[in-house]
Amino acid sequence: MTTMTLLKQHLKKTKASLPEALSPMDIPEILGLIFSFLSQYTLRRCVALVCHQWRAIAQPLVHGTVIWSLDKNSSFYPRKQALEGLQQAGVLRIVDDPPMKGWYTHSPIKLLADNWSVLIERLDTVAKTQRGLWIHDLRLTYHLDFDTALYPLLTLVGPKLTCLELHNMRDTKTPVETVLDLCPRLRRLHLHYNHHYTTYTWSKEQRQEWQARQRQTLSTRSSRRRLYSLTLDGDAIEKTVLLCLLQDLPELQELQLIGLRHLSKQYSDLPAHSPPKNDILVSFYNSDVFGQIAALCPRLTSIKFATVDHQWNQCIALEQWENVLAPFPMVSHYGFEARDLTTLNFRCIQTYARNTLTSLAISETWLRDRVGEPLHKYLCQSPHLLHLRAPSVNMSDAWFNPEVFRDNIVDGDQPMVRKFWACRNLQTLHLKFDWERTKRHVYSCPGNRLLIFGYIVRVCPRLRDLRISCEHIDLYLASGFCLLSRLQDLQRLTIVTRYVRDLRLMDIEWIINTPKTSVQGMKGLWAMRQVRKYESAPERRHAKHPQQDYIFDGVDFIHAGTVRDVEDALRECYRHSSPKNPWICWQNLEYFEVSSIPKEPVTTERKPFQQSPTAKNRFPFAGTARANIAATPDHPDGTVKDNWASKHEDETVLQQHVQFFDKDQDGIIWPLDTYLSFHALGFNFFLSLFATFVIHCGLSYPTCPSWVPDPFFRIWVCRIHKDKHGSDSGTYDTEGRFVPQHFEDIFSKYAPEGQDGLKWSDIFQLLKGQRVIMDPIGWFSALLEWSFTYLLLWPEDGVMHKNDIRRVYDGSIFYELAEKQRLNNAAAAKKDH
Amino acid sequence: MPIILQAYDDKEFKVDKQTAERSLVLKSMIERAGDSIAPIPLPKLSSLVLEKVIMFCKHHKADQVDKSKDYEDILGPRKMRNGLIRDMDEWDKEFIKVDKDLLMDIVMAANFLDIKNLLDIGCLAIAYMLTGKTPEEIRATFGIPKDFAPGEEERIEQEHAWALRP
Repeated sequence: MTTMTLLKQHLKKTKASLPEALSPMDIPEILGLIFSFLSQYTLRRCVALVCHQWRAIAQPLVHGTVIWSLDKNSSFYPRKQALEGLQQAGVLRIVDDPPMKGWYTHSPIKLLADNWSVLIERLDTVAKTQRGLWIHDLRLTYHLDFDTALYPLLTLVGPKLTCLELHNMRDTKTPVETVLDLCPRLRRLHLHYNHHYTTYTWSKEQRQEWQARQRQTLSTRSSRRRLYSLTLDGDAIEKTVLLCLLQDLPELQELQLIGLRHLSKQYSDLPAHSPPKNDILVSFYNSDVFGQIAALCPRLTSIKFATVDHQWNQCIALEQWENVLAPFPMVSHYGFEARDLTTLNFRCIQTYARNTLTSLAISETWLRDRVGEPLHKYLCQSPHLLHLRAPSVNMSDAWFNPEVFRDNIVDGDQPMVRKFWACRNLQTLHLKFDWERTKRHVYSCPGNRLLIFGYIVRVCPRLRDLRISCEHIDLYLASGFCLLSRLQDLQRLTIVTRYVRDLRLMDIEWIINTPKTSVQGMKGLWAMRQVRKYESAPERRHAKHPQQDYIFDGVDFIHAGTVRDVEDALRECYRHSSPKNPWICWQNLEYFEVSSIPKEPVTTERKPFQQSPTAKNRFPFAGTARANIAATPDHPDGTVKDNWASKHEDETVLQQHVQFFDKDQDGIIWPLDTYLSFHALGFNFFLSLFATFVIHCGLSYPTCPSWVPDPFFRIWVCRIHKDKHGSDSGTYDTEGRFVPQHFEDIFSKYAPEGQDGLKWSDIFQLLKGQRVIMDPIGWFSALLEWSFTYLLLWPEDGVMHKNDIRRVYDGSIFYELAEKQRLNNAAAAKKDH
Repeated sequence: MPIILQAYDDKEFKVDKQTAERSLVLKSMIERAGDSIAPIPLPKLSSLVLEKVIMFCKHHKADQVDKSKDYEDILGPRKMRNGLIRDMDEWDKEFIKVDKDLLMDIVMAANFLDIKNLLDIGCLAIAYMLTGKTPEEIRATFGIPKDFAPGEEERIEQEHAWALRP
């Protein structure tokens, strides 16, 4: 026994004295593994600069993205730098500039064969070097002819390619099978067909040839594909072709079919040889297809189906959604187009994938505004969701207010509806917040931002990927943005905001590195800003309620959205920082981007009034001016009260408008008439005098019967249409008629959606928007008119109602208001006595 | 039948077969030796490290498949990393929170015993240590001598200048 222990001790000694090659940093394999976890940035900037060995190991892992922009005007010629980059490139993108989007493409760029051959030659030489080509990701957003351009490219790049995206393909002749043959390692394939140029006009021969080609490649296929993700984005996807394709893709896990089309009237005009049967295409109405897809691809975990079929006001019925979703009960990711979504769909998602769905993506299309609310409700009821990507769906800040939760509980007269998100483990969040849309003119108000940042941080503390898109975000330390620093796991942060040009480097310095000075300066800075900027009103409200009122479902909402919250966050930073270990915001952050929203054209901001074509009581000829009634879709017969419209049949609407001011009904308005009328409407002495002065100075001469100006500044009602000025809304036309379209335009352009009328702030937008150049008289008149209208109506809730404004236009409300004023005065007089 | 593992400092650890088989090296040894297996000496591992490794294997003994290879194949190294992080549970995160020297030893042990999951997690932890450090700091932390000729460093920096998009 003793000998054994002695021997062992001896062994130990000899082992210990062996030269130790014991650091894993000396073993190349382990180093390679470690490096594979590092970001490209670290690999390039740090690892490659450590020592020769590290550099040699890191080199194959480094790959860059080479992007070529094709410009319409300049020729497509690969830049020298980009050509050199090819050696290291892992990702190659050939995009046109500006990127083509959907249907609104410009005319095709002429690709010069010479330039293309330069690229091919370069790739060829790189492929022959020792390192070879490392491109594994190729994206073309530019249409290339398959035989002459794409084929040579794919033969070179193909063998190593794992990801391929082809956009804007103009013919369906690009054989998917050949592409798959050229790229045997392909895992992800995205094909986007653009039929804007070649519409669905195949002859019978072409179709047969295409199908034969497909069948031929199918039968000669040797190996089974390893494709992992397939996206087909096109106009029409044929059922047989799709199912044939899917047959070979047993490993498929992601399937996206965008642009499903039901054979509609447009396509029933096809020539007889292309059979106009509905089941030839994959569509929502062709329900058995989805069952077949599910049977062919048992490993499917991610699906997206979207249609281009319906118009904006039609929706896919619930049964069809059931048909689509029911065959895929185990799918964990759904993708949608915003236009396909309604409240019904969310209910459907909930029934079919309540426990399995962990990821939801809603892509950017029109009609994204209406998705916001159902999405919010859905989030409130789905605790399993981990990833939400809806970068353009608008969320209103009103839904995040803890005051609302609290009130709900306190009220108690109805069962508590969950008003806050149930998905506590959310890791990816891409959303747009529209605090600007609801409160357009108060974008310097920080409360909404604080509210949303506070809410996100509390409800989803495990976020890794956050993308916030909104009109205006301040990034400086004290603006509430620092609340996001509580997200410990954050890896990617993207901010998309409109006013990015205001951003100075010193504002975001605290994110990049927090030197001691900034941590120390925080308090001073904060104190300063606090005094200067914020109101303390929310605090007072908090003081009323004890703390436990603010804990909902285990989430503490205390101080959410208030100044105190920012203060607490800063205090936390301060506590965690020491001279030795400065506080680091987002330790794991890898990607940080602040970019600007492309300015929305004014035409999308101010939309014209449009009636739904299927509306039951459609108002006919909204664009045609009505001579004697102020008719709108809501009031097609004008003002029916007291038979106003029929009583004033022989007057234009503009004459009806001024008729009230003509006290003696002789067709001539004297200044005294105007003064008395204004006074009768309740304006005081000075305002009435001012109005009389302005009106009669400015508007008298155009209505005069002769060339000589009228010495009494009278206005003739019969020629009142000559007083039309510029910069107005256009509701009165030059003959004094009433144009319903222009009247409705006021509200569709300047009033926020859902608001029945104009606020004072909207009027300013209106005045600003309707201004025409060099028209001081018009600007001034419009300002006065709208101001007086507002003073006259003086709405309790601040919103001048649409009908009241309409009745100002036809003058019928003046009598009513004058009568009201008279009664008020009489009552006041009685009281005095 | 328990399997006895002997560390460098003679400490013996009894583990069950399933736990030991997380290590591919031990697995092949067990298969070769059959039922009558003697204590396995592991002279390269100190008892502290071995204890940690056994702890990991015990926790993960029921795991079914080794998915990391699959990730790499599908998504490339970069994406694989994210996939791995997703798979790492809280226990793993707590497990790997150790000081630098022990971490190095664990990685070495994982490499020696061929435990793929442990190696991945260990390398990930080292990668976290590397991020955010300058080359000088890295050299100082890991004791790596600088072997660049003067001027060479600038040249290498220039090399990647075209693609400085983080």
